[in-house]
Amino acid sequence: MSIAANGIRLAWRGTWLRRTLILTSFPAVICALSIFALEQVEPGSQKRFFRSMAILSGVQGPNRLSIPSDYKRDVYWPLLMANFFRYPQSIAMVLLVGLIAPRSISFDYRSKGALLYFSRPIGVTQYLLGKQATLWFYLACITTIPALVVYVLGLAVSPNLSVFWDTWDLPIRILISSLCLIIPTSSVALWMSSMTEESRYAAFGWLAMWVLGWVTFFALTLVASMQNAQSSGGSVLSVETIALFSPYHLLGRIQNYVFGVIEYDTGISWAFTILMIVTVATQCMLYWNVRSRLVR
Amino acid sequence: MIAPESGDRIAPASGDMISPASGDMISPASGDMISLQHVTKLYGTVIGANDLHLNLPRGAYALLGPNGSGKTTLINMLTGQVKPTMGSVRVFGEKTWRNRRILSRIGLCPAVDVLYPNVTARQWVRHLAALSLLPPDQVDDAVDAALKQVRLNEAADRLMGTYSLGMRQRAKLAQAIVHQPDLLILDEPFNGLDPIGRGDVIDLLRQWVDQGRGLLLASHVLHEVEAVTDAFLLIFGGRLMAAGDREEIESIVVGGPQRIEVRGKHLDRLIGPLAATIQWRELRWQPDSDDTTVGTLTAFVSQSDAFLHGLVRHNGDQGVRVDSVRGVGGQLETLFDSLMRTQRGQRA
Repeated sequence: MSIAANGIRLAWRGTWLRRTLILTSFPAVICALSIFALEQVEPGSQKRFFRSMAILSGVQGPNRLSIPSDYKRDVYWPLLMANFFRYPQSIAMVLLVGLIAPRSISFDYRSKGALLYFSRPIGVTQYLLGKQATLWFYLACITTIPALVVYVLGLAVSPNLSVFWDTWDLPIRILISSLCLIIPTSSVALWMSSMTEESRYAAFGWLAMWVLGWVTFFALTLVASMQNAQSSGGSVLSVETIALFSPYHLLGRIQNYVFGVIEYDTGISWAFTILMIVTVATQCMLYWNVRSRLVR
Repeated sequence: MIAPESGDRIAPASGDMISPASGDMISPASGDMISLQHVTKLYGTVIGANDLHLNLPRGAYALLGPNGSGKTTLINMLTGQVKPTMGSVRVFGEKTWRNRRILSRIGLCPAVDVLYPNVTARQWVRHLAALSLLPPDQVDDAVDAALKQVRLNEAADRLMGTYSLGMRQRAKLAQAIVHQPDLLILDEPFNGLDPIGRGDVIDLLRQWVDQGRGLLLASHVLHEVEAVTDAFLLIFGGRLMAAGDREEIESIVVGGPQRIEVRGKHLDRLIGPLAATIQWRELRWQPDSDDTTVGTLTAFVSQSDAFLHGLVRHNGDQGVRVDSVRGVGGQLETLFDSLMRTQRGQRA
């Protein structure tokens, strides 16, 4: 607890961190206004809004998410939230973690401060929990907390209590989606930090992972579209498969699934499996790295 | 002298207790501050600690040894950060490996320079105090007291990045004492301190010892630790070479190899007769610049008593006049050097 509180306090001193946090509150405001607008506008506008949101999510089209004939909050609101998580907040997450995590452990190595941590009655697990809790706190500040605030505001401005019955599961989806986003990303970022005394290498590794994922995704998408154009049989590379090669798109698909925007398919189970393996593996390596450096 | 290999209990000179251990029994005496039972640590093929075996009652001890002698390895084992390859390490009767609880009774000031440039000493010490499981309502008072003790209270709210090496050393010391541990372990605490800072730390450590708290002070500078305690543990090559107070350690050197400096007239005339009768490593005559008949004869000999007998026998022959003899008793440095040579198997 003390490690986490100290980490939060130290990270808060960063000017860029505070700027990022302020910046990431804007999408939440837009999301809140969108819910308010959805509740007020006429059905035609609601459908247009839905269509644009569905296109943004990449889930619009035949055999995917179809536009409901009338306004359904249990479809509209999760779609809005999925987009909130997937676009502004996921990108903010990359920046935020990139600002906090690389220094988190590597600086303790570099300053030799970790030696003093472990001269106290705390173990490696407690140390790592404290470090991860720092990240969880800030990531919750840009994902879970604003999403829940938006939801509560949505309820507050809604015309009647039926809104609650329509959307009662949304907070649960928000929490699950947050966990899917926060735990693996903090685990990977801290693992990178634990590998070096130079935090810039960890920061580079973190950003490179996302950029390379994006590049791979677009390269494979291009290959798939060329194959589609050349043969009538279509490409063997589906969007679901391609998404597995990009951390960003993999997380996006999982979040879409958690919010009920896309149906279950084998790609989803692969995505969850990969996420699970990455999380467990990086946690183990993180533990091992810290332990082998400090306890011999 | 208490031979460390025998597993005897070693008491600081100020204490009265020097009692033999219970033979080969591994269980340490319950009142011991530190108990090492045939402790060996191997780093691959490199020996960090070699069959360390001793029990130390509560008190102040200086752990002496040159760089790389195994001091830090021993400290790391005492703080549970290194697992002994063989044997057991206990502090206050509790094993230290995988026993984080015992660390609330130990304060560690490591040799390495710890620098968090963007935090103040007060914040840093407070953070580490909180990790030491101090009750939250006592943390601020404990931090103030510790900073005051190391005379850092006035600069405590400055960022540590602006500190001199000496101030950082004091901050490091403050975090080690903030939770009022029963055993304070200091690894080269005088590094980077100016003479005034050294004096302050020595005063602080004396107060600490006077309060009846445990202290283990690792250093390779003898005169600094002499000012704090006269109970020494001499370690070299991972082995505990000798333990006890200065007189006890000297007693094992008497008659053994050591360096002796003799001042007098025409001492160069002794070199021939002495070299023929005693085992020696070096016999060096250094005449004074103003009077070349007077000077210093430096002898590294394997049997100091034989050398001294020879000196007495030849005193007065051929105009030889011995004015003074300075042996290990005058210099702990020489004693340490002699022990090192003994341990290395070097002949004087």
